[in-house]
Amino acid sequence: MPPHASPDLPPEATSPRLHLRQLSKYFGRFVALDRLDLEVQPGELVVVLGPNGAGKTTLLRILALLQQPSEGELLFDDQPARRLPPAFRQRLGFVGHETFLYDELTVEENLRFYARLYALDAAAQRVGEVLGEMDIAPRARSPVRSLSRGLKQRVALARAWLHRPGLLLLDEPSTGLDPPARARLFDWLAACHRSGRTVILSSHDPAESLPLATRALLLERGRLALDLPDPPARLKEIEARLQAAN
Amino acid sequence: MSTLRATVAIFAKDLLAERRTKDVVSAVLLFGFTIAVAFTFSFEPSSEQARAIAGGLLWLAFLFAAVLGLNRGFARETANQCLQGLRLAPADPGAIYLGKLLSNTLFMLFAELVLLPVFGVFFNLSLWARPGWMLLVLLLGTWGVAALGTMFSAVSANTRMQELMLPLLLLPLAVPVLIAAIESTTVLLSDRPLADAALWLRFLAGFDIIFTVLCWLLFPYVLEE
Amino acid sequence: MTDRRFDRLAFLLGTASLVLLLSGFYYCFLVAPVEATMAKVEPVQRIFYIHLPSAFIAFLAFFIVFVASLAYLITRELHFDWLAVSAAEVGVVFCIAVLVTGPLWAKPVWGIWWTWDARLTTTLILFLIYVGYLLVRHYVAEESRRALLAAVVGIIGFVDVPIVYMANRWWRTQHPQPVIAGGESSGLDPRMLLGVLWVFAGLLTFAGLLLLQRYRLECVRAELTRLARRTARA
Repeated sequence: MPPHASPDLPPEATSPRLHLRQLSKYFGRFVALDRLDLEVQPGELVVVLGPNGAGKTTLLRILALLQQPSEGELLFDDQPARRLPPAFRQRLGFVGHETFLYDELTVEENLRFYARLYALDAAAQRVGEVLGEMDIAPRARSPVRSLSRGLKQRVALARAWLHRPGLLLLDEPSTGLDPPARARLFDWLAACHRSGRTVILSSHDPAESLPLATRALLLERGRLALDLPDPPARLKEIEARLQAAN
Repeated sequence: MSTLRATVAIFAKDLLAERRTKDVVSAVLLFGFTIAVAFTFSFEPSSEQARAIAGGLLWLAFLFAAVLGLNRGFARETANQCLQGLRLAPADPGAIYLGKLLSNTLFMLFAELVLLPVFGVFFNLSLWARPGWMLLVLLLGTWGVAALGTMFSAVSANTRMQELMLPLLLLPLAVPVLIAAIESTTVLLSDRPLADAALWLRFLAGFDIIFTVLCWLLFPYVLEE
Repeated sequence: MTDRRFDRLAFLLGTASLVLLLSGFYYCFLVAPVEATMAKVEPVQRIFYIHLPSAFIAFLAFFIVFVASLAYLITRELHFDWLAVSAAEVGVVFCIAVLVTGPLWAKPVWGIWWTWDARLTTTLILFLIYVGYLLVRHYVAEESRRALLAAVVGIIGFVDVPIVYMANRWWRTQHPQPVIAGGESSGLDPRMLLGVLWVFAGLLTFAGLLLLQRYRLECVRAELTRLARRTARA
């Protein structure tokens, strides 16, 4: 993956400032997120850690506007998320547990379809670019059904990156990737970060994700248990804390 | 404009996927054919009596087959949670409804056009005496079923009952379409004047417009979480 | 609403419905005159005093479902969802009353249990639509999702009702009619009308009582969930 660095981002690619105020999410009696207060400035690379069921996925899905909080507020650049125009989604990119890909279509057809939904100019060219960036060009004509989990994940990353969003939200993005592909993923994330974008990713492997991070969050049963700047310097401390939480 | 653009994108995507898998068309076709055969056991198929109830049988077969087709059409969006991918995009969520409605109508219509001669042969009917009118009835009736069906296939997919929920919701609500489509088809099959069918055709057109607009407006709420 | 006010309102509605229904039934069954054409089926024709008010109340309840569903989509206040589900259940109960009393009345009067006349057929389809509404609710666990899906079904279902009625009416005018003696509301004796209105008032307060208690149940459930969440947090 060639490093992508364009200091002058187009307006849709600028990173919004993110603000959570006493945000909670319930599923029936289950408290998934519990009165979170959090601010993320443009250009941060935040790693969200925590044991299973701590609320990482729910948090990322709420930030991606896929889910509504039960209580509290989510603000992007001081605008309540509920009142944002649809065009705002142009600035968000999200990779979840599922790939959001159509099995019966080829890699290229999937990406072209999403490029049309994002109303991208020069869609064909852009699809060609991300195919190269994610190193999946040789499989462009293969149906998604025939790909391995790791390759599907790379197509999912390509899908989220098509419109070059300013805020990237990734839920355990290294799932299914082999070690070289993981290394390339983190190179790409570092490049996104260098270009001034905000990146928020969840991870269960601090050794892999923290060296890049500018900030680490630890979620425990929906609460923000830890919020530390400069995680690379505190790797040991964070790992010990995560062990305790597990 | 963005609604139109996204609608076309989803419609084109469905066409491409259907060309590969033929999921929806084959479901409607095979099930419709099986029902047609099953109906022939319930009475003397080539009698005068058959002519009187053929319109009803035809639309019942189409409606039940449509339930299967609609469920499979929506299954495409729920596999791999594609629906969430669509919701991430800056497009009007109503466009998802309109795109699916177009593709569902087209696939069902295609299957019905294949099934129609089968019914004609089995029940000794002249279905194409007035081809233009017959097509219009098929189009308006199928559109009406798809307008409600596309909406409720999304509702059903969100319940724990999944696909089973669709017929329970769709069949009572689609009663007006069923009545109007059966009545106008029966007029076309008999030698009664076209004016008898005109009222029902206008009724169908009105139904289609009302429920297409209503479901388009309400669809975004079904996708919300 | 506080518990005290709930209790007071429930007591008022309960007392009113008890008094109105007892006196209303006394009037309808023992005082009101017998319609001339119905004399031969004497006691049975008095079912009409329950049948007609029940139908009105069912429609009214489904109208409340419709309005509450719209209100929920606009405001996202779960109270409207609770109102909608309460009204839907009350509506279904009265729908059943209509569907059971209809054939009981039709058999001796018309000689058939069921007639596919527009009103009766519409009521049957209405019943099926709102049973579907309750099923959707039953099979969705998450409350905001359930409220959204149910609201959508509640709105589309209600818009469909007049169309179902129209379709049935036009359809039936083209087919042989069953022997209906003049239609049920033609030329009602004023004393019979008084009876209908009397029972209607009684059933309406009774429906109000059911609605109130059902709504209250949802409030208690929500409170319970809230407390369970608080326990989970601690």
